[in-house]
Amino acid sequence: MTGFLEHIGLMHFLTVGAVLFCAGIVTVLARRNAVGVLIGLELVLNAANLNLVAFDRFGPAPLRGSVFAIFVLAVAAAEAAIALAIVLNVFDSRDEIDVDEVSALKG
Amino acid sequence: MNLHLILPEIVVVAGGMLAVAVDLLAPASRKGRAAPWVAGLALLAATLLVVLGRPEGTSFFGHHRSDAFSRFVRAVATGGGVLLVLISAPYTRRMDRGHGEFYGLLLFALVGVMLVGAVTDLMGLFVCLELLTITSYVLAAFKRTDVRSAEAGLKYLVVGAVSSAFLLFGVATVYGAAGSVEFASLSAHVVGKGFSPLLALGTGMMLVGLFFKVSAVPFHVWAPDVYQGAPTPVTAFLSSVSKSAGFVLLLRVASVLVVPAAGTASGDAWVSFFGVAASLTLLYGNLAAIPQKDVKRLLAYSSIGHAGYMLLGLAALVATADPTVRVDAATAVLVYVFAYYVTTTTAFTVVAVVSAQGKGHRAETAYAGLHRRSPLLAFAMLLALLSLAGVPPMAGLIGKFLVFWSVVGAAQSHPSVVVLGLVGALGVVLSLYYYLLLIREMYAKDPSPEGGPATIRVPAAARVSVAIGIAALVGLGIYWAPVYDVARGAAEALFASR
Amino acid sequence: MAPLLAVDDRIVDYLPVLILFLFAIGFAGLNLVVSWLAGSKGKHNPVKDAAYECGLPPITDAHQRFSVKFYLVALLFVLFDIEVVFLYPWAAYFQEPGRQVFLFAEMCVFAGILFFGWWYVVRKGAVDWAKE
Repeated sequence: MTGFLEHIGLMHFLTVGAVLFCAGIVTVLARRNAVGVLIGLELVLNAANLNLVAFDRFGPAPLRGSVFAIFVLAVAAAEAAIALAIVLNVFDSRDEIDVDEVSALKG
Repeated sequence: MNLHLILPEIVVVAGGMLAVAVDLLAPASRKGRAAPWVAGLALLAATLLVVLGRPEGTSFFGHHRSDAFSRFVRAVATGGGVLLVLISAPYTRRMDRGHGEFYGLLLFALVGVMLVGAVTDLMGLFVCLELLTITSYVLAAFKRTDVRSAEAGLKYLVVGAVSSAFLLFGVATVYGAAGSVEFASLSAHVVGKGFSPLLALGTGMMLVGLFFKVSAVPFHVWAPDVYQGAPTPVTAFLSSVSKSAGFVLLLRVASVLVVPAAGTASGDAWVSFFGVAASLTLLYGNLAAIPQKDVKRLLAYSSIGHAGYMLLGLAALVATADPTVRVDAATAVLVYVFAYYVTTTTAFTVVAVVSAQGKGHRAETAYAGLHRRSPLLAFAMLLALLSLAGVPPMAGLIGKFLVFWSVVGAAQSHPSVVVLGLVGALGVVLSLYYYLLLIREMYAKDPSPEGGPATIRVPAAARVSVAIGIAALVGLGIYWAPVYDVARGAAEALFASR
Repeated sequence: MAPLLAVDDRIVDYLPVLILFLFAIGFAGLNLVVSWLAGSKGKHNPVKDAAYECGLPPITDAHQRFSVKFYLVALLFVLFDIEVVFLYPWAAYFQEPGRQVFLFAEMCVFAGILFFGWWYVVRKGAVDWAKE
């Protein structure tokens, strides 16, 4: 069993990252519930984070990517907090968070 | 450590925190009095520090660079911030709570813009841009009881977050492909090894993320809804500050990653990338503005059109092989950003005062016969619209002239850019039409009975900002050499520093 | 670029994973089949089919709405919690000779801004549960 883990290289991480990214984008586009859209966004951000850490581990510039990933975590937390507050506010004012139904603005 | 170099940023952050604290500690009867003063004075102090102090050098171990480029960006952010505070003051006076938070968020967003010009790596670029965008979401949704403001916030949030995610994924890919996040080593990598497919993918995703921010077609759908739904001072903020930050970053990314590839096959691909985006944005923005009846929506579409002119300058910057023309193009974009900033802020000051009547933003009611109800507002709006159209002797003309001049310069090494110039000229003609429609509404029509009282009272703060706007519009149009010189210095620093 | 992206996937190395998958599926399937074979049939009634046959009957829906206060406190927790992550790289770097004073001052500024946020939260009454 010891051998096979060592063969997991950068490409494997990038593949997982790309799958996460696509899953996130599909979620954002297909979901009509605003909270579902936010979950899709978190997937995309974490795909980028995975790539950053993987490039850091296998790349020539040590630590840059990992520190960057920490910044991304903090930014994502702030974004999620703001996003939930705004969604809650929309829900309060119209009992609806379906993004297709939120359409008072048109022209 | 050179802490004095980031003193302007420190002053603005402290001002933002102070505005929040003062408002929180004030007794209920005096809520909201001090916050605009604190914010305005902090921004004024920061402007003076940038303009008179002329900070030069790097601090935080090379992560923050003060040069002519970052000085230009910081001066635009803080000086324009003072105007935004003047626009916001009459608006926040009508709110019953949240004054400190409004000005705090505004100042934190402006710090994001100030830092955007001074960052030296992709990490700083992402974090500073997020500081700006996340605060903007809250500002767009600030009127909590208004369904349209809440909706504007939600739409801006979803689109903005998607674009940030694209940008971040692009940044991560560029980091992996080039093995570095510093701008200097990134352009060295492009010079030495050219564009690998991975690097091209990452750069493309970063540019798409930034195109979202500046509302370039086809990533523009959010802009009209958000501009219409957000509180008017916030709309002014979004169309001026937010947009200029996007273009500062586009200039930076273009100069770091795209320009070193000029003349190669991948360089030509980037020229088409920028060229297509510029011409689509120009045509769409100006065509879609024609049928608009709501003035805020009209200005939103016009702002998409103006993003097209700035992208035109960027296309010229990417296309040319001549370093002088490149500096010309960057100068043109910076002057255009500045002139557009002044113009749009003036226009939105008028919109803010008119919409305070509570009769909406429709052209044929709220703006009919505006010059009889308030000659000052109508005159300011007239000048702003003429400047947007690029009529001499307004500020907007010089921006447009410089952009077209750089396109002509770029055509010597890349003849197909001439097509872009023609599209731009068509855009100018189209835009004249719908600006003139609104001018006719204000000057040739009688006031509508649904438009509110017969005379509009202009608050003192708005009067100051309108006066500054008129002076800047005409002054910059006639005596533009100082701004041009500063912008040219900034453009030279942009290319020298990479 | 080439060595960074080199693919080295000898599919044979994944054989243990495949065996694990087969075991997992086989175990679950076997249990289902055995319980279907050995279990008694044809005694359906609502009491038998309830989730907890011998317990208290469930009342109300599990999908209750929570007070918005939970949401606010959870959000504040996430925000302040994630900021602590920045302490790790800072602590790892702190031994760097000659920079300790600067690093300490740096963290004081960082914590000061965090505490300003905390003071704002408390003063706004966001964690004040008793007051309605």
